[in-house]
Amino acid sequence: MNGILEILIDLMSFLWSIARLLVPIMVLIEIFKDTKLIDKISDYFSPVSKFFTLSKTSGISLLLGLFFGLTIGAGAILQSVKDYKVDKRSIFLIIMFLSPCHAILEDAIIMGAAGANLIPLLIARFLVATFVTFAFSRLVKEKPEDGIEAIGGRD
Amino acid sequence: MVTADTIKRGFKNGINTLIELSKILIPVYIGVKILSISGLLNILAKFFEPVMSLLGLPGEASLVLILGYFLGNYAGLGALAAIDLTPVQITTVAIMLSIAHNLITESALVKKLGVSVGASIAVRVSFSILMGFLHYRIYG
Repeated sequence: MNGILEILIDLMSFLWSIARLLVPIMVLIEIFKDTKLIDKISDYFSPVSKFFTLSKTSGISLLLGLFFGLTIGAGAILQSVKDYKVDKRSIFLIIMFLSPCHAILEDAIIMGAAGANLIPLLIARFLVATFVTFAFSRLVKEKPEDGIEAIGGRD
Repeated sequence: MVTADTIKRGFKNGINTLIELSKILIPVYIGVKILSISGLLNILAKFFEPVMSLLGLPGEASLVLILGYFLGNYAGLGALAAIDLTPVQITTVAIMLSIAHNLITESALVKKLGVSVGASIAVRVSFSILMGFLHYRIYG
Protein backbone atom coordinates (compact mmCIF):
# COMPACT_ATOMS: atom_id res chain seq x y z
CA MET A 1 0.00 0.00 0.00
CA ASN A 2 2.84 2.35 0.88
CA GLY A 3 4.45 1.62 -2.47
CA ILE A 4 1.37 2.68 -4.43
CA LEU A 5 1.10 5.91 -2.44
CA GLU A 6 4.74 6.62 -3.10
CA ILE A 7 4.29 6.10 -6.85
CA LEU A 8 1.28 8.45 -6.86
CA ILE A 9 3.12 11.20 -4.99
CA ASP A 10 6.09 10.76 -7.31
CA LEU A 11 3.87 11.03 -10.36
CA MET A 12 2.06 14.11 -9.06
CA SER A 13 5.24 16.00 -8.28
CA PHE A 14 6.57 15.09 -11.73
CA LEU A 15 3.42 16.46 -13.40
CA TRP A 16 3.53 19.59 -11.24
CA SER A 17 7.16 20.25 -12.17
CA ILE A 18 6.06 20.31 -15.83
CA ALA A 19 2.85 22.32 -15.29
CA ARG A 20 4.46 25.21 -13.44
CA LEU A 21 6.75 25.84 -16.44
CA LEU A 22 4.50 24.81 -19.29
CA VAL A 23 1.67 27.23 -18.50
CA PRO A 24 3.86 30.37 -18.30
CA ILE A 25 5.65 29.45 -21.54
CA MET A 26 2.35 29.02 -23.36
CA VAL A 27 1.31 32.48 -22.18
CA LEU A 28 4.66 33.83 -23.39
CA ILE A 29 4.16 32.25 -26.82
CA GLU A 30 0.74 33.90 -27.16
CA ILE A 31 2.28 37.27 -26.21
CA PHE A 32 4.97 36.68 -28.86
CA LYS A 33 2.32 36.01 -31.47
CA ASP A 34 0.14 39.00 -30.56
CA THR A 35 2.96 41.55 -30.39
CA LYS A 36 4.33 40.41 -33.78
CA LEU A 37 7.67 40.20 -32.02
CA ILE A 38 8.57 37.30 -34.26
CA ASP A 39 8.57 39.61 -37.31
CA LYS A 40 11.04 41.95 -35.66
CA ILE A 41 13.30 39.07 -34.69
CA SER A 42 13.33 37.80 -38.26
CA ASP A 43 15.04 41.00 -39.41
CA TYR A 44 17.96 40.27 -37.13
CA PHE A 45 17.92 36.69 -38.35
CA SER A 46 18.89 37.38 -41.96
CA PRO A 47 22.65 36.77 -41.48
CA VAL A 48 21.78 33.23 -40.38
CA SER A 49 19.65 32.68 -43.48
CA LYS A 50 22.56 33.89 -45.56
CA PHE A 51 24.99 31.54 -43.81
CA PHE A 52 22.82 28.54 -44.62
CA THR A 53 22.19 29.94 -48.12
CA LEU A 54 18.43 29.93 -47.51
CA SER A 55 16.08 32.10 -49.52
CA LYS A 56 15.05 35.30 -47.71
CA THR A 57 11.40 34.42 -47.22
CA SER A 58 12.07 31.02 -45.68
CA GLY A 59 14.19 32.08 -42.69
CA ILE A 60 11.13 32.88 -40.61
CA SER A 61 9.88 29.28 -40.93
CA LEU A 62 13.13 28.08 -39.45
CA LEU A 63 12.81 30.52 -36.57
CA LEU A 64 9.21 29.53 -35.85
CA GLY A 65 10.03 25.83 -35.91
CA LEU A 66 13.08 26.35 -33.73
CA PHE A 67 11.04 27.91 -30.95
CA PHE A 68 7.53 26.57 -31.37
CA GLY A 69 8.01 23.09 -32.78
CA LEU A 70 8.10 21.10 -35.95
CA THR A 71 4.35 21.23 -36.41
CA ILE A 72 4.27 25.03 -36.32
CA GLY A 73 7.46 25.21 -38.42
CA ALA A 74 5.93 22.90 -41.03
CA GLY A 75 2.71 24.92 -40.95
CA ALA A 76 4.70 28.09 -41.52
CA ILE A 77 6.53 26.49 -44.45
CA LEU A 78 3.27 25.38 -46.04
CA GLN A 79 1.88 28.89 -45.57
CA SER A 80 4.98 30.55 -47.02
CA VAL A 81 4.83 28.22 -50.01
CA LYS A 82 1.33 29.60 -50.61
CA ASP A 83 2.36 33.22 -50.01
CA TYR A 84 5.67 33.34 -51.88
CA LYS A 85 7.72 31.11 -54.07
CA VAL A 86 9.85 29.06 -51.68
CA ASP A 87 12.40 26.85 -53.35
CA LYS A 88 12.60 23.14 -52.60
CA ARG A 89 16.24 23.39 -51.59
CA SER A 90 15.51 25.91 -48.82
CA ILE A 91 12.71 23.70 -47.52
CA PHE A 92 15.03 20.69 -47.47
CA LEU A 93 17.69 22.65 -45.58
CA ILE A 94 15.20 24.03 -43.07
CA ILE A 95 13.90 20.53 -42.36
CA MET A 96 17.44 19.23 -41.94
CA PHE A 97 18.00 21.94 -39.34
CA LEU A 98 14.67 21.50 -37.60
CA SER A 99 14.72 17.68 -37.49
CA PRO A 100 17.27 17.48 -34.69
CA CYS A 101 16.59 20.94 -33.26
CA HIS A 102 13.02 22.18 -32.80
CA ALA A 103 10.67 23.28 -30.04
CA ILE A 104 13.70 24.14 -27.94
CA LEU A 105 11.64 25.98 -25.32
CA GLU A 106 9.14 23.19 -24.70
CA ASP A 107 11.77 20.44 -24.84
CA ALA A 108 14.10 22.32 -22.52
CA ILE A 109 11.27 22.74 -20.02
CA ILE A 110 10.30 19.09 -19.92
CA MET A 111 13.87 17.77 -20.00
CA GLY A 112 14.83 20.25 -17.31
CA ALA A 113 11.88 19.14 -15.21
CA ALA A 114 13.08 15.56 -15.58
CA GLY A 115 16.45 16.61 -14.16
CA ALA A 116 18.63 17.01 -17.26
CA ASN A 117 21.43 19.55 -17.50
CA LEU A 118 20.24 21.93 -20.20
CA ILE A 119 23.54 23.47 -21.29
CA PRO A 120 25.08 20.35 -22.88
CA LEU A 121 21.62 19.47 -24.18
CA LEU A 122 21.19 22.73 -26.08
CA ILE A 123 24.80 22.75 -27.28
CA ALA A 124 24.43 19.21 -28.65
CA ARG A 125 21.24 20.02 -30.54
CA PHE A 126 22.57 23.24 -32.06
CA LEU A 127 25.83 21.59 -32.99
CA VAL A 128 24.13 18.74 -34.83
CA ALA A 129 21.61 21.01 -36.59
CA THR A 130 24.24 23.55 -37.65
CA PHE A 131 26.69 20.92 -38.83
CA VAL A 132 24.12 18.95 -40.82
CA THR A 133 22.51 22.03 -42.40
CA PHE A 134 25.86 23.60 -43.26
CA ALA A 135 27.12 20.34 -44.80
CA PHE A 136 23.97 19.92 -46.91
CA SER A 137 23.95 23.60 -47.92
CA ARG A 138 27.38 23.14 -49.48
CA LEU A 139 26.61 19.70 -50.94
CA VAL A 140 23.25 20.48 -52.53
CA LYS A 141 23.74 23.00 -55.33
CA GLU A 142 21.42 25.95 -55.84
CA LYS A 143 19.15 25.66 -58.84
CA PRO A 144 17.40 28.93 -59.78
CA GLU A 145 14.59 27.22 -61.69
CA ASP A 146 13.71 24.99 -58.74
CA GLY A 147 10.34 26.45 -57.89
CA ILE A 148 7.14 25.64 -56.09
CA GLU A 149 5.88 22.98 -58.48
CA ALA A 150 8.74 20.71 -57.43
CA ILE A 151 7.33 20.28 -53.94
CA GLY A 152 5.64 17.07 -52.95
CA GLY A 153 7.10 14.54 -55.36
CA ARG A 154 10.42 13.48 -53.94
CA ASP A 155 10.96 11.00 -51.15
CA MET B 1 -1.96 43.83 -29.13
CA VAL B 2 -1.59 42.02 -25.84
CA THR B 3 -4.91 41.86 -24.02
CA ALA B 4 -6.39 39.80 -21.21
CA ASP B 5 -7.48 37.42 -23.95
CA THR B 6 -3.84 36.75 -24.87
CA ILE B 7 -3.08 35.64 -21.31
CA LYS B 8 -6.27 33.60 -21.14
CA ARG B 9 -5.46 31.82 -24.40
CA GLY B 10 -1.93 31.03 -23.24
CA PHE B 11 -3.23 29.69 -19.93
CA LYS B 12 -5.79 27.53 -21.69
CA ASN B 13 -3.17 26.18 -24.12
CA GLY B 14 -0.91 25.36 -21.18
CA ILE B 15 -3.61 23.40 -19.35
CA ASN B 16 -4.75 21.63 -22.54
CA THR B 17 -1.19 20.62 -23.37
CA LEU B 18 -0.71 19.33 -19.84
CA ILE B 19 -3.85 17.20 -20.14
CA GLU B 20 -2.70 15.86 -23.52
CA LEU B 21 0.69 15.04 -22.02
CA SER B 22 -0.76 13.39 -18.95
CA LYS B 23 -2.66 10.97 -21.17
CA ILE B 24 0.72 9.65 -22.31
CA LEU B 25 2.87 10.28 -19.24
CA ILE B 26 0.67 8.60 -16.64
CA PRO B 27 0.01 5.26 -18.44
CA VAL B 28 3.67 4.92 -19.47
CA TYR B 29 4.86 5.76 -15.97
CA ILE B 30 2.54 3.18 -14.40
CA GLY B 31 3.31 0.62 -17.12
CA VAL B 32 7.04 0.90 -16.54
CA LYS B 33 6.54 0.60 -12.76
CA ILE B 34 4.55 -2.60 -13.35
CA LEU B 35 7.24 -3.95 -15.70
CA SER B 36 9.83 -3.12 -13.08
CA ILE B 37 7.98 -4.74 -10.16
CA SER B 38 7.13 -7.87 -12.19
CA GLY B 39 10.79 -8.35 -13.13
CA LEU B 40 10.18 -8.12 -16.89
CA LEU B 41 12.12 -4.88 -17.11
CA ASN B 42 15.10 -6.72 -15.67
CA ILE B 43 15.04 -9.23 -18.53
CA LEU B 44 14.87 -6.46 -21.13
CA ALA B 45 17.59 -4.54 -19.32
CA LYS B 46 19.93 -7.57 -19.29
CA PHE B 47 19.44 -7.99 -23.03
CA PHE B 48 20.35 -4.37 -23.87
CA GLU B 49 22.99 -3.93 -21.19
CA PRO B 50 26.05 -4.46 -23.46
CA VAL B 51 24.87 -1.77 -25.90
CA MET B 52 23.70 0.67 -23.27
CA SER B 53 26.95 0.41 -21.31
CA LEU B 54 28.73 2.01 -24.29
CA LEU B 55 26.67 5.11 -23.51
CA GLY B 56 27.24 4.83 -19.77
CA LEU B 57 23.62 3.88 -19.22
CA PRO B 58 21.99 0.96 -17.40
CA GLY B 59 20.03 -1.58 -19.47
CA GLU B 60 16.70 -0.20 -18.23
CA ALA B 61 17.35 3.02 -20.12
CA SER B 62 16.88 1.14 -23.40
CA LEU B 63 13.14 1.21 -22.72
CA VAL B 64 13.25 5.02 -22.37
CA LEU B 65 14.99 5.32 -25.74
CA ILE B 66 12.69 2.87 -27.53
CA LEU B 67 9.56 4.60 -26.22
CA GLY B 68 10.99 8.03 -26.99
CA TYR B 69 12.13 7.20 -30.52
CA PHE B 70 8.82 5.66 -31.51
CA LEU B 71 6.19 7.40 -29.40
CA GLY B 72 7.78 10.71 -28.47
CA ASN B 73 9.47 12.69 -25.73
CA TYR B 74 6.62 12.40 -23.30
CA ALA B 75 6.43 8.62 -23.44
CA GLY B 76 10.20 8.53 -23.02
CA LEU B 77 10.06 10.91 -20.08
CA GLY B 78 7.29 8.94 -18.41
CA ALA B 79 9.61 5.94 -18.50
CA LEU B 80 12.58 8.06 -17.45
CA ALA B 81 10.77 9.25 -14.34
CA ALA B 82 10.00 5.64 -13.38
CA ILE B 83 13.62 4.39 -13.32
CA ASP B 84 16.60 5.46 -11.24
CA LEU B 85 19.37 7.30 -13.07
CA THR B 86 22.18 9.67 -12.07
CA PRO B 87 21.99 13.32 -13.24
CA VAL B 88 24.64 12.68 -15.91
CA GLN B 89 22.73 9.66 -17.19
CA ILE B 90 19.50 11.67 -17.29
CA THR B 91 21.25 14.32 -19.37
CA THR B 92 22.66 11.68 -21.76
CA VAL B 93 19.18 10.26 -22.31
CA ALA B 94 17.69 13.76 -22.63
CA ILE B 95 20.22 14.71 -25.33
CA MET B 96 19.52 11.52 -27.26
CA LEU B 97 15.75 11.96 -27.02
CA SER B 98 15.85 15.66 -27.87
CA ILE B 99 17.62 14.97 -31.14
CA ALA B 100 15.54 11.95 -32.16
CA HIS B 101 11.99 11.41 -30.93
CA ASN B 102 8.47 10.72 -32.12
CA LEU B 103 9.95 9.54 -35.41
CA ILE B 104 6.74 8.07 -36.84
CA THR B 105 4.57 11.18 -36.44
CA GLU B 106 7.26 13.72 -37.27
CA SER B 107 8.31 11.81 -40.37
CA ALA B 108 4.76 12.14 -41.63
CA LEU B 109 5.15 15.93 -41.32
CA VAL B 110 8.51 15.88 -43.09
CA LYS B 111 7.03 13.84 -45.93
CA LYS B 112 4.15 16.30 -46.27
CA LEU B 113 6.73 18.97 -47.11
CA GLY B 114 8.26 16.78 -49.80
CA VAL B 115 11.53 16.28 -47.95
CA SER B 116 13.28 12.91 -47.79
CA VAL B 117 12.10 10.98 -44.73
CA GLY B 118 15.15 8.69 -44.96
CA ALA B 119 17.56 11.62 -44.71
CA SER B 120 15.69 13.10 -41.76
CA ILE B 121 15.60 9.84 -39.78
CA ALA B 122 19.20 8.88 -40.66
CA VAL B 123 20.49 12.27 -39.50
CA ARG B 124 18.49 12.20 -36.29
CA VAL B 125 19.18 8.65 -35.11
CA SER B 126 22.88 8.63 -35.98
CA PHE B 127 23.54 12.00 -34.33
CA SER B 128 21.37 11.05 -31.37
CA ILE B 129 23.64 8.09 -30.64
CA LEU B 130 26.82 10.01 -31.42
CA MET B 131 25.92 12.93 -29.14
CA GLY B 132 24.84 10.60 -26.33
CA PHE B 133 28.19 8.86 -26.62
CA LEU B 134 30.12 12.14 -26.66
CA HIS B 135 28.24 13.44 -23.63
CA TYR B 136 29.06 10.27 -21.71
CA ARG B 137 32.72 10.53 -22.75
CA ILE B 138 32.99 14.18 -21.71
CA TYR B 139 30.91 14.24 -18.51
CA GLY B 140 30.62 10.60 -17.46
